[in-house]
Amino acid sequence: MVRQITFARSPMRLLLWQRALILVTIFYAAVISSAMALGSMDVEQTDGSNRVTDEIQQGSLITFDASGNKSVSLPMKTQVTMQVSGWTNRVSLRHEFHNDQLFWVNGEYVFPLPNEAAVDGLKMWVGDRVIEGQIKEKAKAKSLFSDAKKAGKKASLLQQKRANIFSAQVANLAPGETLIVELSYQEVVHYDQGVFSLRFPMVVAPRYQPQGASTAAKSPSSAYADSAMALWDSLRLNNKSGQNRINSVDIEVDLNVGMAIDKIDSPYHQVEVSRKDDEQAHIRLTAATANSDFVLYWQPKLANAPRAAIFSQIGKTYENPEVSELDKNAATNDDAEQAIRSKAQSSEYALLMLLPPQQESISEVVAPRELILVIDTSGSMSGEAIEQAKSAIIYALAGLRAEDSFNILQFNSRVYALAEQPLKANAKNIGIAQAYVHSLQANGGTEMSLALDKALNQQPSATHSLRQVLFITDGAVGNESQLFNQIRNQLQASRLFTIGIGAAPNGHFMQRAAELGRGTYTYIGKQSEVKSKMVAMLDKLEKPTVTDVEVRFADGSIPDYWPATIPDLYAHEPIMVAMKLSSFSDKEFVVSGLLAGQYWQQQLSIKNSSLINTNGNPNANSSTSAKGLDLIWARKQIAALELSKEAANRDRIEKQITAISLNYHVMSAYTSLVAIDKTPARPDGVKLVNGQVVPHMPKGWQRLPQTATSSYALIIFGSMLLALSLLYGLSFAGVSRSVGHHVIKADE
Amino acid sequence: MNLRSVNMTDNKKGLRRNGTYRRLHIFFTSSLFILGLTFIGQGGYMQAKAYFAQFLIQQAWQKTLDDQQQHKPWSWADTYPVAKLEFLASSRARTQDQTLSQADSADTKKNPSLYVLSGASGRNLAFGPAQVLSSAKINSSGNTVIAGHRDTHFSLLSGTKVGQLMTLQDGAGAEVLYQVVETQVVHESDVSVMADLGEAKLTLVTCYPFDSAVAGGPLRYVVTAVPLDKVEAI
Repeated sequence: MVRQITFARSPMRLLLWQRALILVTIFYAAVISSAMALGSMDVEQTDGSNRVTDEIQQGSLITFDASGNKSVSLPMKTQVTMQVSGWTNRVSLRHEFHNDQLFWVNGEYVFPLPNEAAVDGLKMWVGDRVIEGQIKEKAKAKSLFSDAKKAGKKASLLQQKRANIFSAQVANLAPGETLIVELSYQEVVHYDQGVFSLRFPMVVAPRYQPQGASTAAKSPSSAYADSAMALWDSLRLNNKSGQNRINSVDIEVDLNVGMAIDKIDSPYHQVEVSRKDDEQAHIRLTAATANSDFVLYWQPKLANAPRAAIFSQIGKTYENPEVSELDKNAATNDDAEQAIRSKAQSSEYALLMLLPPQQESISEVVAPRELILVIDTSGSMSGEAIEQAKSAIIYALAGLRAEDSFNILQFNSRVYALAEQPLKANAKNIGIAQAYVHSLQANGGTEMSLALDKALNQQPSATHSLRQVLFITDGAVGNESQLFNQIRNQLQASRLFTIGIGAAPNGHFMQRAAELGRGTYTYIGKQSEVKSKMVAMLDKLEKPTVTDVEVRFADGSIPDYWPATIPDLYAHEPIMVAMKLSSFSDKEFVVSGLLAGQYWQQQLSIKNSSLINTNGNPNANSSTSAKGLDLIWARKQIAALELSKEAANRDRIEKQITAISLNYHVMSAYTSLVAIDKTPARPDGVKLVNGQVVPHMPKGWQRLPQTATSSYALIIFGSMLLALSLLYGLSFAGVSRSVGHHVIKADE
Repeated sequence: MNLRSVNMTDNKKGLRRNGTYRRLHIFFTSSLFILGLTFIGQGGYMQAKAYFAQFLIQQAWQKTLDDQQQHKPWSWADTYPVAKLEFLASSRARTQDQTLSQADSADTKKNPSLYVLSGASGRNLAFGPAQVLSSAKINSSGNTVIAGHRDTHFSLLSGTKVGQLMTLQDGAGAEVLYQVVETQVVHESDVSVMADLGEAKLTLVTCYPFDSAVAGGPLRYVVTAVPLDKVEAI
């Protein structure tokens, strides 16, 4: 009996712990698969890396280097003063570096500025003294700065890292000392749909990078680096309190619009607005947390909405006798210097605002559109990129009207078209197109040239329709210059809009292609961005445009203006053209273009910095004195040159940009501003530590590529399952053996 | 007898129940086993793909060196090798001459070398380290950015020290000797490391931390190297 009871219960008892085993297995499976599903999560067990991610999310100044060493923070205060007068905005940006450590520090700080900012000034405040920065060629500025750094002098260096990313470096900051670096830039305020706006990119979650490792490479002995690292280590302990420090930003805007303001608004920040009178206001934002860009909107009263305008200025902001003298001495055949030579002193600079005619009946003249959607289905687009591209196309199809026509091309190693001729945009055809798009697969090579050929060569000879080519790709091509030539030669009346997809598309290629194709470049980085970016872009495409815009003097000669190829004009969105005029030139201009295929022109003239539009009404803001227009002219020219840079003309373009930059005192990628104090401050033999305050980059531009697979996780997980199955199998074998044993015994 | 027959039925019941359990157990065990094998297979496939693809790429690279044309490593590929990256087994450069001779002698030894593909898309990275398209051309006067998987090709970056030498060979066969000047950990949104400042530079990017089992972390390990003749200038 006793035996029978044991026998009857034994499978049950064994099952209990086997159940436990099953539960454990399922638990493991659930945990690990959910961890893998949350691909973005870092399920690291080591607490070091956990701390890293936590702290970055908190927006602190602390970070770890590769070897796990923690660094200290360099507190910084940012103060922004803006003076808006009419269409231009003069901004001065003060960075206060404070060294609350016990040793001398070199600091570096990377920050964003608006895309079109013409950075021209650098000042360093040491106590009461002000040291003005000089513009120098990049390598020269760098060596001046590092010499000063070695000599123990206070110095500051401002460099351009990308078109809109700058870095400020300071050297020899004494313990407890505060150093103020002030830079200034000029920009044109944005005007769209009757609303003016300005944007100031803010610094998000700055981080601080120790450079002990790189110092070791430069110094002959590693003892120096070791001591520096030891310092970091000691500071790691007493710096815990400062972990959540966030850079604070103060912004003050002096708004002098020159026309009656209706309302002022800042969508992302709580600002104090004090109105002085109808046309002027003062806006203040104190100790803002730098988590989103500062944007300010102001709307003029309806009757005062601007229509067309010219602003002008005589002479340059920075008269630079040294450089012009150098020019005169230089050989005449150097074309880099030719670009900036002559009459600089007496030249007049103008900013011309082009607005398309704003008629009520404008929607009636809208020509039917022919939309050619080109999608890259090469292997490099596989994965998320192709899905984003597909949904972008679906949005584009949704925006078509009944009178429009469309076609879809896909290309990889070959080109395939949805239809031989463009299809009418009726419900049936769009349905077919949607099904076609959904069936697309990414595979094969990237023969972009064939696709461009097909998209641009099918143009009907006489057409009233706007022909728009939407090119969706990651730009994974090697023959860039050949493609540029092809666009230039085959474009005709079409417009090429490029859409960059994926983690790291070839942005330069696509921006340049769009410029040559007289269209725009849009970057879509995430699936969630597809809708907003496509809607914004399609909205533009669907509105009427003035195409083939040209500016000339009344006598037919062409002024020196940038951008050299004026983009098409879209409703409510003006384009600013910067011009340089010689003092004796004509002051009458003709702006011409094609409005829905019809010739359209507008006359403008400058009269002593006042302006008159076609209706003969002096514009309300004519009295605004324009300043810094030469800076804007130079900045626009640099941007245009930068875009035209190719492997073949690289050196020449760099020379040209450097020359313009030095002449106009505007920063470029090849020149830097450097300010150096004459008197050495740091005593000899005192140690110096390098540091870097690196903020997050502006969001939504690019990301570093994803560079890991879960192969380890898969192997570990797989082995774990194998081990469990073995364990389980063994345990079961054990059970059946014991059961068999019992049965035999019971039979006796 | 009565008692015995009752016992028998009990036994039979027990056996039947036992049979059901047995089937369940076999099913469960074997499915666990198969699942485990599948995962190991997947992980192993990734590793094997990364390892063996390099041989095919090496052949394509050899052809490229011979005729300076682009060659796909396999016919359906959407990429081609653009460079050969070789890590030299030396630590610190004292003088340039010394290093160069060191590099020459290192050539005879077996150095870990990798073939770099064009375009750092997820698909290419499974086969080899790849050049980010928007970055400067190989060995040109710009910032060349090469990304690679932390758990396969670029796992050897974990041992990279400042001073480490590497050569990068371009399609024309020209080799440039680079020396590592900086290693740092950055957030994936910090694209400043990819910025092209017009100075010759080689930037290697991989995921961080190296021993993380699962992909998708936000940190990147960035190795910056400059041509050896320019190390002193920086």
